[in-house]
Amino acid sequence: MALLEVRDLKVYFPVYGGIFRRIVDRIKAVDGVNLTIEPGHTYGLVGESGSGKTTTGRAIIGLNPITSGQILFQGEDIGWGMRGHQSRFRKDIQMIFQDPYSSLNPKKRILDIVSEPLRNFEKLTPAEEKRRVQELLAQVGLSSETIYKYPHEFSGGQRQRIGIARAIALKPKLIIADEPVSSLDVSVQAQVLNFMQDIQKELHLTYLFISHDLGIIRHMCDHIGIMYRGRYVEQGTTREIFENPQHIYTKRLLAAIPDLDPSQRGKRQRQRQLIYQEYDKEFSQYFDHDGLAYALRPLSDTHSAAIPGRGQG
Amino acid sequence: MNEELLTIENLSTSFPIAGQLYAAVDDVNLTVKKNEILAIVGESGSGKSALAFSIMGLHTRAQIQGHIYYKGQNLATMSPAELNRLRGNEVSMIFQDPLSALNPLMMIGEQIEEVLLLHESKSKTARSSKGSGQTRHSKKFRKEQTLDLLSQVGIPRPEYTYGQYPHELSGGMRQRVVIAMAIANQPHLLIADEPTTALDVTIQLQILELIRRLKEQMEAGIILITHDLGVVAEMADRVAVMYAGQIVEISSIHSLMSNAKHPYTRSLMSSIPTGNEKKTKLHVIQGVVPSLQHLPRQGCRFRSRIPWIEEAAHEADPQMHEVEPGHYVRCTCYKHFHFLDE
Amino acid sequence: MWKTTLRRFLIMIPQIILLSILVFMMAKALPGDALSGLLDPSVDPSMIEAQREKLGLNNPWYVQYWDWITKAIQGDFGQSFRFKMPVTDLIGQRITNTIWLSLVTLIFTYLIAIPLGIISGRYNDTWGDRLITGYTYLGFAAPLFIFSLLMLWVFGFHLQAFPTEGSVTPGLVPGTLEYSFSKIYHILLPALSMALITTVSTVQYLRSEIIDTKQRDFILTARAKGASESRIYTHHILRNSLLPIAAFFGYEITGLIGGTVFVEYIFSYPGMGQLFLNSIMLRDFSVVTALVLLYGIASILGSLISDIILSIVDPRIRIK
Repeated sequence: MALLEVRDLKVYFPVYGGIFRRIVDRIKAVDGVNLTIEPGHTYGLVGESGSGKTTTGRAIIGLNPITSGQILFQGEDIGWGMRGHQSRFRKDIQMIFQDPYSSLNPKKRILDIVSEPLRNFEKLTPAEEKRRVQELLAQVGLSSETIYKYPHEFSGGQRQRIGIARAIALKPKLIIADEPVSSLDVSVQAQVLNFMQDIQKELHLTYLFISHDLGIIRHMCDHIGIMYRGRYVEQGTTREIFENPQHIYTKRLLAAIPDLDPSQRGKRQRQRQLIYQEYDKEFSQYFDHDGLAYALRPLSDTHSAAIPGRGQG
Repeated sequence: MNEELLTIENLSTSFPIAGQLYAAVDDVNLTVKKNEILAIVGESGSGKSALAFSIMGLHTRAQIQGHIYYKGQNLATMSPAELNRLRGNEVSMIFQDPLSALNPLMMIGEQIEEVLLLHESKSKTARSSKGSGQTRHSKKFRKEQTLDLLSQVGIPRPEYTYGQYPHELSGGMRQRVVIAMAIANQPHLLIADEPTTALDVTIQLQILELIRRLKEQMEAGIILITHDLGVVAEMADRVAVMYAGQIVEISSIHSLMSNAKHPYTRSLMSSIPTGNEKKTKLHVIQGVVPSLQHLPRQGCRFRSRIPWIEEAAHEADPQMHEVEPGHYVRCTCYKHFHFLDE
Repeated sequence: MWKTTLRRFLIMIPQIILLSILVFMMAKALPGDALSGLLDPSVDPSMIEAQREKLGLNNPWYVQYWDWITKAIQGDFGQSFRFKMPVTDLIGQRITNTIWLSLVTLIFTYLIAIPLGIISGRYNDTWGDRLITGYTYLGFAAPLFIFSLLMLWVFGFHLQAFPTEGSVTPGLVPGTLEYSFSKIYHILLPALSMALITTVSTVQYLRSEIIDTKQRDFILTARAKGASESRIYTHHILRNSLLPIAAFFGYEITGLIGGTVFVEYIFSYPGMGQLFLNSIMLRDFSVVTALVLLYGIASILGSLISDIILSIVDPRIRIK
């Protein structure tokens, strides 16, 4: 059974206008997203800014209200929307944020930061709590003396690991990582990515990995969904997406990845030129008159793309 | 003719911290030629931005030693007034974060016009050589130029954007405005400090292509500062790798990407996730980049991060060694370097 | 733009209604009513009761409120029992005096704050800045009424450079040049006393705004464009730092209300503030109620002005 299943998720934000600030329009941040993540897998959500990838992640963890659709966790409705009722899955889903500088409260000690979720969900004595925090910090490779320090005393990579320690404190099943390394230096990035893979094996975690960096997505993920303006344009296994992209938008996105081989520059430029021409020429075939993607059509068991069918035109 | 546009000799830029001076840029030597892109690569704390700011004279508290020759004139010893005649005119800069680099209360048009206005006399001579009869100080002419610049950098509706404010534009559009400002007076030397870091990949590519096209049109020398080796591989003619305030390796792009020598360069390259889908481990450099106060000032600065390499492999006072024509590496440790798992 | 202004204006209406209800309740809660001062205590209680009934004082509070507010809108705040004249006339005489005093104070406030703030912010951590910052600390520490008394004593009584009471020299004919000069002469000392104290927060505000703006990235851009230091100040730093000061303008008005109450009293300046304090001491409640309502409306208008100024000068707030 899938660990997480999202069915036709829609998140619309109201736009207020006029003298009385009435709702005059709605922004369709997420407009009909379906995705399934198997336990132990890493699912990559890719898109440019404004594509709705972060909103999707935040809706899954209950930070954004859902307009319509269903989120099933282990086959059961997750139930964020119900009033006065705390979802029993609250513990099972945690989030790692983009900016390790602003996501940790600067006035709190590491002990308090990491133990915060424990205090919310588990009744522990202070001694037990301290021991648990030390264990968690050891798991993320920080020494146990660090518990009395403050966030500013750590480097970016260390802070991100503190964020991870906080996220794994309640032994979650699913971690939503929203651009977890994009504010870090390349070598520190490598450290955090390696570490995320290590704890995934160790704790049998499932990741929803949100990023705009296709190199990192390719490195980390088993399955990939590509979003554009709130809708999916293509989804499939990493291999299918990178080696056999079907949607013109995916092709254009992949073509934009910088190539590490400088001797291929001229060739790459010509390829890009071709893809751009194709994109401009065939845009109206791949997108509807509002510039939005069509519904996904299955191409194989795992691969589907928003290509209009012949009959549907 | 292989014109050297910029020659930096023994440049050190030091900052006072608690009454003591610490060099963020330490004894840097490099040259930039006309119609060339020199990339400076390094992580945060490497001193790459401090180097760019030193060239532009933007440091207010730093002490600068050494020479920065731009067409034979030493920028390091110029008076602010002399510097202001060059800045924004012959030498200009593109900043990393296009939102904070623009004045939030000024219209886009005003901000671009300002740089034209400040260097009016130059555009006047340029104009008279073209034989145009337009009057100097003409507001109308500046506006025309601004609209022209906006369309040059690929802004779809220049007339409309002219009257917009920075917060009304997307990140990519803002960066185009910043670029329009930087190229307004057709600079000979352009410094781009992480110009695409804040942008999406497809926008990044558009901006990089724009910079490349402008280089070809203006035959300018460009210093491209970045932490992204992919951007370097796409853009640079030559590359300087900086670590802890020093250049550790400098070479042509082809020689560097195919034959990197310095342990830091090699480590950096193997820490990038590349195409392999097998989830192999990425390379991690041990330890952390030391802060400015704690930089090792003697011996090889990268030594503490490759402790498995024996001490004898390092030079006492690391020098640049030419390993191939035009390819220099600091310290002798590169000869003995291997990754820990090799 | 006009939409924002209009919406902001519409928000003000319920604010004022709420304020008037509060003021009315406050007046009701005070001991005594409109009759207490008018009637001889020895009058037969049943006659008082009849009088109360006639005046509507036994009606439910909302009926009384409605009577009061409908009259107030028409400019009728009742009678002052102390001065035996309509409250409206009483206030009308003084309101212009207070408005003039406030205006001159505002001018002084900005004349002091802007140059001092700019010097202090531009040359921060120099001796000049330390001197100015020292002055602002003194200004924060010194109570307005003590400082005003000191000014009155030094310049009014000791040096006799300024008049010590009133708003105009008695016997002058309104409309003559002499009359106007005398008015201004009477305003100068109280206005200066008040401005010297109230300006310090603006000085500090401007100073920290300038220091902040100096470190913003777009200042680097301006330098990289080749702009001279003085141009950077005039075209980039000041424009951005004066914006919050301009927005603060409306709230200055609120601050002035508190200031004029004390200063007018100390300088025996016949304005609303002096009337306010006197009426409280004399328990002239119909006057106090009317004044509290006016002051409240002035504060609400002040914040409206602030919002409107901000929406005009800051493009980020403008709504298309």
